[in-house]
Amino acid sequence: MSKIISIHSFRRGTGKSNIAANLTTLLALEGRRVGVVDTDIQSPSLHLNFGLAEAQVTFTLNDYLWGKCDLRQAAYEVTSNLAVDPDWKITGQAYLVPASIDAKEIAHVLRGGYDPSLPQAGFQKLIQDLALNVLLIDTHAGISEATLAVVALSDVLAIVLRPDLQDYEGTSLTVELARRLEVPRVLLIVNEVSSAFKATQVKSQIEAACGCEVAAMLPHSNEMLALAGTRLFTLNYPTHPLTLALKQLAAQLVA
Amino acid sequence: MSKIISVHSFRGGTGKSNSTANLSTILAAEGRRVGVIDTDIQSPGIHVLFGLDEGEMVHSLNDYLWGKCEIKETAHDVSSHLGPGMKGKVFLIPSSIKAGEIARVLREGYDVGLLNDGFQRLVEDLKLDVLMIDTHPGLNEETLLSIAISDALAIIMRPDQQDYQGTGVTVEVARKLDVPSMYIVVNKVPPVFNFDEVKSRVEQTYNCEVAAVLPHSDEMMTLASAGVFALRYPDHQVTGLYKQIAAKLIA
Repeated sequence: MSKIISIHSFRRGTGKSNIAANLTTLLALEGRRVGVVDTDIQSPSLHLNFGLAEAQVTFTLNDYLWGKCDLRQAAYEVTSNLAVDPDWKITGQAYLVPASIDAKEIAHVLRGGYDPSLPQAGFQKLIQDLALNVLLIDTHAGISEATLAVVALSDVLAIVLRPDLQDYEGTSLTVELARRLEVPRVLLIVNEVSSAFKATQVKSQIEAACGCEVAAMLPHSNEMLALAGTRLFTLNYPTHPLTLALKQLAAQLVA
Repeated sequence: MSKIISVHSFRGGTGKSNSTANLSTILAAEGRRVGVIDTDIQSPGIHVLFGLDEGEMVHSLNDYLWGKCEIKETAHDVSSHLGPGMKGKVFLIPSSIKAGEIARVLREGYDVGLLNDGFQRLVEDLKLDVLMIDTHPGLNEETLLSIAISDALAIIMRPDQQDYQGTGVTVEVARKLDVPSMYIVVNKVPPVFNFDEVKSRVEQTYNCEVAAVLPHSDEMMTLASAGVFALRYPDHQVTGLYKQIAAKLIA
């Protein structure tokens, strides 16, 4: 059974894309066939994590939404980019569907809108075409119709937030909407938890405020900050506490 | 002469709302009448920094955009939440935090021209010295409009690969829109970085002045938006840098 897992957050800058990229990596390293779609059309970034150069890209998610191609044609295998050492044997596969970084194309999709039922058909077909075990979807933050359409077709919705009061209200709203859309599993990922906080206390505070289970408390990491979104944290710091916490999270998500 | 200042970032999570709240507070503490408008309709947050609860919100920006009220009726005087040191005033125009209202505005859109009228009316009605606009990240119509009518623009970025690309686009657009003064603020810089190097690299990349390079601060992270940093930590290095940015923007 393949699974669609959406990684969402109400506010931006919670680390959603970095988490999606690292979960994709961890699942592929464990031997799974994983796809990840960058649906953050307004400000795409996953291509950077996976080192997918603009020159390598023919079609993007935008082209699919405009009916110019199949979603399969916009999927790029990035498995070899995960090998820190060229001798590494990676048993799984990772595929990335990037969004366009061309300002005109971004504006085009935003201005014109697109058929919200398109992703549903496309994602199912992509899973079949690439024989995926897991499809991860990096959403655009906030509550929009396009995002809700993606959320509605997910098996699991993971909502990322920081232990910051600005994030609480919106996260609980999102949880409520996901429940109404009958998403089978909704969970929270708390990111950038300062070591000055008592993690268990913050966890129960957030669970109470948002009315939802917290699946992971990811520590704030200066190393992650210094990586500056250029590479994949879990590959660069395989034994870091953050990597270990992400591994546990990955296992929970596919369980 | 009153001024309109937009605070923007291409990506989210750069600290845009926190910066807007701090700059507004600093300008008000010096005796100005400051309006702060949250045009981040998709994911409002700045009201939390000013301690405005949902229950206290009478009208939001959404109500104005739907023609339910005048723009000045959406302004909430939050000066008293900021403590006794305020010589001036802070008026907050919040966006709605109700899911139905967020979804409606996204679904139906709104007349962007109304925003522009609203900005001008606010400045007059509340006799503002400064109107600060907390924009929605990325490039969209309302953001372009806010930028186009601004006297000064602050673009916030982190020293992060994901931010470098997008900031370039924003700077370019702002130039075409002839914003009279424009600054970049580099935020959340890891302490291990060489700050001078970051500054000159950013300035060279975008050919735009960097108003300040702010270090990542554990105190800011631990404060977790429970208040305005500059008030809690008046002598902190970051507060000093915010003052420096405020002075440039208002000049």
